[in-house]
Amino acid sequence: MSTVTLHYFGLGSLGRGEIVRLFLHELNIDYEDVLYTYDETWPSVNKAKDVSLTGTLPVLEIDDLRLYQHLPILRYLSRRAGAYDGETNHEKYLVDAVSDIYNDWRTGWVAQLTAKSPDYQATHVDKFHRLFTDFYSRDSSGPYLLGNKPTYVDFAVFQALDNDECIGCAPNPLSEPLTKLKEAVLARPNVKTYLAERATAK
Amino acid sequence: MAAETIPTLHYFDLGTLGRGEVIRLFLRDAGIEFKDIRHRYGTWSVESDKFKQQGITRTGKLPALIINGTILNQHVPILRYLSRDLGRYDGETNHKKFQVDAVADNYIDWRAQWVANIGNPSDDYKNKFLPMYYAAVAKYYSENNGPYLLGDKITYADFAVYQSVDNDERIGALPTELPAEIVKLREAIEGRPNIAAYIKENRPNKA
Ligand SMILES: N[C@@H](CCC(=O)N[C@@H](CS)C(=O)NCC(=O)O)C(=O)O
Ligand SMILES: N[C@@H](CCC(=O)N[C@@H](CS)C(=O)NCC(=O)O)C(=O)O
Repeated sequence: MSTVTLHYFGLGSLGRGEIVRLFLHELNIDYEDVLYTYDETWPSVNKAKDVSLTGTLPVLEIDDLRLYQHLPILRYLSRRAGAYDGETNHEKYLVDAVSDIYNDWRTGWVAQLTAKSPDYQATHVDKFHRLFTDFYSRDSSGPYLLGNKPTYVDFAVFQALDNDECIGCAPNPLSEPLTKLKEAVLARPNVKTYLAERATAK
Repeated sequence: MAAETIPTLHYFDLGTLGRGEVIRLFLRDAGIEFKDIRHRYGTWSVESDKFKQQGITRTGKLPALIINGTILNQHVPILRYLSRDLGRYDGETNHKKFQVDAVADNYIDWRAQWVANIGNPSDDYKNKFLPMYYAAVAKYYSENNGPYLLGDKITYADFAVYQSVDNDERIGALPTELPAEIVKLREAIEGRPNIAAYIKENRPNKA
């Protein structure tokens, strides 16, 4: 099989690309990282190297395809694995809807990086913390959105919590359902080592 | 009982602007009758708490679709729910499903920019963002020769892309030159039997 390559910015554990990395670890898929500098030089680098059609990253090369847009990439990988999604139409919808809410969170998080807003934590973080908590309280049979069954959205929400923590804006205290999610992802066999190394590299 | 089986769409009185219209168009195309409730956009912040309490929207935002006894929010996930329910309007292989999903995600990024540019579209939006968006989307369309994203089979993303063209035109931001693939899509959608008359009725007069 051809090599799997992830193109993203050198942002450490921040940003959209890291969710794809985490998920590739979970799926036990080896990949190579190609890192770009996240600054005003990116558009001209992209033009010269023809990396991204949309001008944005991540881009994942896999199965002889170039895949764009991080949530659609997660869903492609889930279907490929035949796992990590809901089973019924309504379960699939729930996973999709929470990813869409995560996406709205991400838009605000990115805006915060460039234009710091003093009430980011009090408004944005608080609002999404409540929404995520609400959804993760639905099925208390396990730590994931769908109870004991992990799905792709759990990795996205895990990274949202992590990225808010990284920029010093973690919800305080973190709600019980989200604490459980965090602990469960941290303990997953395929990502445990990766996440532990990532934490010490910070 | 019969009345309750008709889905209800809650959105704003914004004509064809905004996220809700994508769902209206989709439902009409699919031949699904629905109750079309249009809230006043101007007074929504007062009403939104009430709707949150009723569970119609957890986020305080619309659209919300009540169907099969469940409440659905987030407009693109709603389109995918409906597509799965109907067993139509999506790709069949993993790669085709991805193409539809990726274009829909481009549209979601477009929508966030559009919302920020309704009042007075910025030069950045008009001259940089939009040409890039339409070119990227057209590239996907060119892979299957149109008129729809996957060729002659329509999918949920086609309605979303169509609405981006419509909504950009209505705020006076639409690039004068659109990629041929996008023009072709537009014509194909406007000729669809279930929605052609509806679209025509609502199109601004082209003087
Ligand atoms: N919807 C896309 C958005 C991608 C996106 O906006 N990526 C950012 C970095 S996280 C980017 O490439 N920014 C650089 C630029 O826009 O020039 C996705 O999900 O991948
Ligand atoms: N991601 C959501 C976003 C919904 C959204 O932002 N809706 C806007 C109107 S298009 C809204 O309800 N605005 C009113 C408000 O924010 O109070 C979706 O896809 O439905």
